[in-house]
Amino acid sequence: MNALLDGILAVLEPTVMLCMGAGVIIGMLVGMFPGITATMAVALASGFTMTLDPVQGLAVLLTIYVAANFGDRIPSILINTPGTPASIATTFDGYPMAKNGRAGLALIVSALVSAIGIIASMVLFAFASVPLAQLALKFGPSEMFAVVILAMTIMISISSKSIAKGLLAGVIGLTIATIGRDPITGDARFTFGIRDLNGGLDFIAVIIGLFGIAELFDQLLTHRQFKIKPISALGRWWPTKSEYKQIVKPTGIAGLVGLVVGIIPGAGGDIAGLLGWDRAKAASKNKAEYGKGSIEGIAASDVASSATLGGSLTTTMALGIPGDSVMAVMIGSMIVWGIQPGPSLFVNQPSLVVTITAIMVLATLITLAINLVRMPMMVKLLDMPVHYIWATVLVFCLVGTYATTNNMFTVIVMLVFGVIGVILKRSGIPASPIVLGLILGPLAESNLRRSLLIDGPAGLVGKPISATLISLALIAIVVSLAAPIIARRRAKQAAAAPTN
Amino acid sequence: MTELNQLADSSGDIILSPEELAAEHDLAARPSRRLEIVIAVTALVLSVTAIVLSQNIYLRMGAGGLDPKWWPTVLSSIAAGLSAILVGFALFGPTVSRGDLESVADGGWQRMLLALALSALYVFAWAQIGYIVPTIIYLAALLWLFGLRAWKGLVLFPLITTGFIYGLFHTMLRVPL
Amino acid sequence: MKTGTLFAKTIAIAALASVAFTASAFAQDAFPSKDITFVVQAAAGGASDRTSRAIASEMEKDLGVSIIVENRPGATGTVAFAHVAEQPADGYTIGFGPVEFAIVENIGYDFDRADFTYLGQIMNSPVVLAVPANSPYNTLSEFIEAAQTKELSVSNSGAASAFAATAFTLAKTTGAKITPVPFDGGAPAVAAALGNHVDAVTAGAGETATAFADGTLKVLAIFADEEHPRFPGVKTAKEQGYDLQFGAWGGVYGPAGIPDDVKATLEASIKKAAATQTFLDAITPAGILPAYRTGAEWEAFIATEAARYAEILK
Repeated sequence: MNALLDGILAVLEPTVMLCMGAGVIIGMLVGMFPGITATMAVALASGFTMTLDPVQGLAVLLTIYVAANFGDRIPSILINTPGTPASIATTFDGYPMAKNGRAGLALIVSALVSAIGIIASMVLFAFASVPLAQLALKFGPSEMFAVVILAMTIMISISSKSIAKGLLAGVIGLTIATIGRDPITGDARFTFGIRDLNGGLDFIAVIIGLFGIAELFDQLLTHRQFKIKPISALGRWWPTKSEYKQIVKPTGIAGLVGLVVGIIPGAGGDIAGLLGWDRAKAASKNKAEYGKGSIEGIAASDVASSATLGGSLTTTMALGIPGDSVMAVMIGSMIVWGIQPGPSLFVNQPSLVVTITAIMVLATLITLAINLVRMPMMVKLLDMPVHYIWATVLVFCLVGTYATTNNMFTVIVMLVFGVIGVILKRSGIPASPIVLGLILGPLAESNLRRSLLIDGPAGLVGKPISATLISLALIAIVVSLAAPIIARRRAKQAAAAPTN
Repeated sequence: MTELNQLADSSGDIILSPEELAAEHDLAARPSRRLEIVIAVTALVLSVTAIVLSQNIYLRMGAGGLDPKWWPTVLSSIAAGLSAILVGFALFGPTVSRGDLESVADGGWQRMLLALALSALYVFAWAQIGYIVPTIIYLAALLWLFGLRAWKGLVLFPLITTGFIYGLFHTMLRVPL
Repeated sequence: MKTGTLFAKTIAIAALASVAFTASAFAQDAFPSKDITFVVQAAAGGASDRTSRAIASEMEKDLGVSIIVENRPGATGTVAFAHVAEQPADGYTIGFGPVEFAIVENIGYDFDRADFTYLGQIMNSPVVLAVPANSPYNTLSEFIEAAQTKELSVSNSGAASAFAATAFTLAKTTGAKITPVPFDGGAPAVAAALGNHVDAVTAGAGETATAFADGTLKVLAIFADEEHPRFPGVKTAKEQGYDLQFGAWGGVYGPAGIPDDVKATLEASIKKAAATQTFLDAITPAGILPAYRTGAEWEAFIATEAARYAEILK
């Protein structure tokens, strides 16, 4: 009981609150601009927090982490540009909602469910870190390969219009992910003697190009003077009672998916968001709405990707193994402060665990409050005449992309993928399976080859977790391929039957 | 009228007048068999190229089992298969609707290509002579291209935006612009 | 005669300006007179970044100018190396040179060690071999003996890294059947060992120290000349009869052709900075050890390392 009290009291110090205030401002700002990641902000801030005491330092860094996760959703919804991979799935329904004049509603729902996701994951962190971390260790290469195969089945469900084109897009993504160095032998593949290609295509540059720039180019192609896009003009802010009811189920399902994925090392908010969206869609009565501006869709994607925050904190604190790139930076700082992450942290310093939980929860609540109050201002920005918006989006995408690597080559990659993106868009080939392929491709290949190196083919089917997941994936493939056929047959029967 | 009802349903709060709806319909991109064939054939050509390139990957040392060529070869073969199916659909299937794509506006291509050319020039100039001057010129040129003619906007907006970005990225985030 | 006075004033200002200009031209002799850029080949947050920021802030105090750390990650560091090589050799652009300086030329990168001026090695993060706590092996020789009869898998942070090379060399020199399994970074490699998915891991001291302190990993050997303060009681490989040294070392370099006086100033400053307590406090918690070599010594060391990696990676 003392540990609980001490831990919470430590957070209520005025200096700690001040640190959290700074963290919220930095995090929101960082999240809003595409290209600047929470990792970058935390790494830079850790230079300054080194001299603070641990609780103050953690308050700054963890709050940036939380606030950036909220801010990240804003450009995804308003301009179809995911600031980080974690908000890719947000664009599926967030941007269509904005185009339908429901940007305000999308932003509020996103903020609400993100808060739910983070807080739920922190409850798990506080009470079950050590056993969950042990579960996380069970995921070796063969289990990871199985997870990735399961995740690949989403390609079918996110390519609703034409399955053939969607799968082709997925394979394109998987193929361009092989550009760079082979993960096992280090041999160069498809680098054509260009030095910068050795590291592979920069992921953030590709998603900013395929989503943000391609959408902008498409608007340049199709925009007409007389047609007014009602992004900011119309729309309620708060959900109605029936909408609240509607999002309960997808939030629950996708939230669970996010919590589970969060524990798996190597799978982060990007995969969780996509899987959560997919599972919620599969369980929904309004499947057809998903991807066209469904309030359920945005609730699902954002609760799932936010629910991974606690999971990555779990593996970080309970194993000393960073759950994501932000956590890798955090571990460095913690070691300097003399905090040794690992199972013993929970035994020796329970009050610190309480403090971390309290900071995360408090940061979530503060950021949520600011989001709810400030959102209308954000949307007002889109009231600017369209030429200002276009110019601003273009220059921020260019500079933001540059900031990820400080290398002009990355900016060129981004522009090239903007052009590819608009060509694909006009061709009816969806961009999201490409991105899914880019995320999953390297994981699939490297984990398959690793597991073959370790155990040979027996390792893949001989382990309970991987065998179960692979069979689930097979079922998912059969069901999702069969579903449209069955639906079509039913529609035919319905059409044939007399209607009354 | 079922289609009309559906549209009204999915758009939530917005109530479209019949005139507006008619306008929406006119803007939709038209399905085109020729376009579908071009897409499918291009995809097929590209995937066959990828198969050839995968075979030519240079291996430093012989790797047992699955070597670095294996995965790209598998992927590009699947891509070739899918493109072949698409070619079949395009040639013999019904022409599919192009979803929610809008048709290209008058001058749309010109506007997009000029914006792209400006961006490419900007990236080149930025690499050569630094961030500040090219960014101001680039923003002003974009605004002009997008139809702004008020000189106050053409001067002030680029100056303020460039300064803001410089402050945020260069000064605060230590990005070497 | 207003215009006349104005004219005279202009001349006076121009004269003053030209004097000031010449003065500043002379002042250039006193290196450094402006900010120095320090290029890091990895993203912010890792061991290279941490070491670079620590040495840069100590050098700042010594040289009296600002040192701006720039991260230019990509292509195993070669993006940053090429960037530095292209900058003017005036000492105002320097960078962090990691162990990849001895490796990349052997795995098909366009990289020439002669493109750089070597200013001094500052750190070394020795490779360790660790096994899960429930592993039957307690010493390096037990592990090697077991590997001579059956295949043992050893994870590492990535293909063509110092860690992968350690496993390769151990197998080659002892005839043991060791399968190196590259992962995407040190942390997942250690996690694979903790979860018993592999038999052992070769990793940096920093990545294994936490698990060692918690008793979830047993460290069998350190591939260094001396024992490591973070691993009390763990013997070096040499002490156990296997004379192998591997480490992820690093130093400071610049483009080729830095003038001798500037080079001397930088070398002296690096040597001084690398010995400060603040620098040590910043790097040692992460398992990194101070290891100073002068520019010339380091250059020779890289040449021998490169020859060694050429053998291993062939």
